[in-house]
Amino acid sequence: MARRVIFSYRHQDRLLNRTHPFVKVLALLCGCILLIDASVLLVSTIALFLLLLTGIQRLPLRSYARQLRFFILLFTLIALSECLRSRSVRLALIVLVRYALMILYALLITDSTSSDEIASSIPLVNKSVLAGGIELTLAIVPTIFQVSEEIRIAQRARLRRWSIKGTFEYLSTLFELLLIRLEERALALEGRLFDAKRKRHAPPLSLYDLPMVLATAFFIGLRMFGYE
Amino acid sequence: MNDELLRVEGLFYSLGEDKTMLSNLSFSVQEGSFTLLCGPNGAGKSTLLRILKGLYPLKAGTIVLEGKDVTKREKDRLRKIGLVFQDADSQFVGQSVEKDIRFGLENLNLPLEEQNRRIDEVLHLLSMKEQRHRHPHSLSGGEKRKLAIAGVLAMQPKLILLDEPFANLDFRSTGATLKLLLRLQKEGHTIILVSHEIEKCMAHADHVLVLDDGLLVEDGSPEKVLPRLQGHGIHVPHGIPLEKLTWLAE
Repeated sequence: MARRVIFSYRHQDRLLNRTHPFVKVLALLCGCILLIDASVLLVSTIALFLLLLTGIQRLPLRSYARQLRFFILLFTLIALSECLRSRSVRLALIVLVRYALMILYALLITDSTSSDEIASSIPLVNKSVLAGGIELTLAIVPTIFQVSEEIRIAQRARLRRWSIKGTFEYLSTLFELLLIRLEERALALEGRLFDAKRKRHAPPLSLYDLPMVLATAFFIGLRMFGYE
Repeated sequence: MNDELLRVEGLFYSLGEDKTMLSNLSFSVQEGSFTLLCGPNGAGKSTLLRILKGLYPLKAGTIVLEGKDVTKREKDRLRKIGLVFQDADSQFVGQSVEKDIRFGLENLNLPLEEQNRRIDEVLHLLSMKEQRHRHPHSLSGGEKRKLAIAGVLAMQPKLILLDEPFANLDFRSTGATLKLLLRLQKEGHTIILVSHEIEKCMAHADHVLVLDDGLLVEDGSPEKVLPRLQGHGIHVPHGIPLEKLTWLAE
């Protein structure tokens, strides 16, 4: 049985899975823009909302722990550079939480929305070749994490120790293996008559979209009316 | 069976000018038959399947499908020939079993009702209804192989090509896959199966092709080809009669 792959879709019958994909994409975009320079109050409000969604969605964060290590390294670097720049630990922590929340937002959306649903739901784009590009690009993201995990396990099995040379070897293997996988994927797509311009069926809006719409409107309101 | 479904004449394929992969291959496949294509590693078996399917360009030769010359009509071959890749993982595009099967059907621009009908049909045929909403990468090796076959089968090809379908499968999964393939053959599907492990399925083949270093060195019935296989680098279990060369559980 394969390990769960981060940023991959899980079919469930939960609130976020029922929410319209375009509403989720818009909420993600708005959320990330707001988080860029959000105050402590806004960060806390968004954090509460996302944690609530994480619970409702039963996001398997524990299964993702290993794959999230890359982000933990990234967060540490971000926090460190912010700390050095502003000479404030508090500010560095806020910046760290902002980025962590952006990743959590993305995790929730990708967990509940498949790449073809996103491609099919964006107005105008879903009638063009762009939709095919979006679908394939999003579908590749979990593959990157899957391949990197395979390499990590293979290297660990051969008792690899951390070194700069080893890191370069890891990256070059990752790059090479990804190219091979993508070439295979391209052949498979051709074999299955992939048509980027095919007709796509966008789902209708429903009442299940309301919580996401209201929450996003609330966050925008908080930011606009300056409750900071 | 008995009409000729596929005829290949003088097929040639090379990588660059000095690396000949397949040379002057000629053979035919009867409708409804089960053809076993075997040969040692690097013989060109997978390359041949990809050329037949229309994924690799042909350098020379003719491919005739259902009596029509489709050599230059790769799109016809892509539609009418289904290929199950050796690495099932690389074949998956959809993010659930249902979505993956639907992928090919959407590309055929079939109406939604027809797509749903075909998905239900193949899920039932392959006993995969319970896995309908699972992520393809979370399936076991045997289930992944079944999904890869389902994705191809739903597109209703005339000819199904399978590249090492038993690779990495245990005894039970190999038996189940073989049983499924024989059921498909019984329903009229024509199958070309690549395998170098003849002990797993040769008993069921109607026709055997042997490739060695890019050349077709044997072409005939299993009875005729079996005694000569050892000479082409293929392991032949000693003292086991042809009818026992199967991993299909009793």
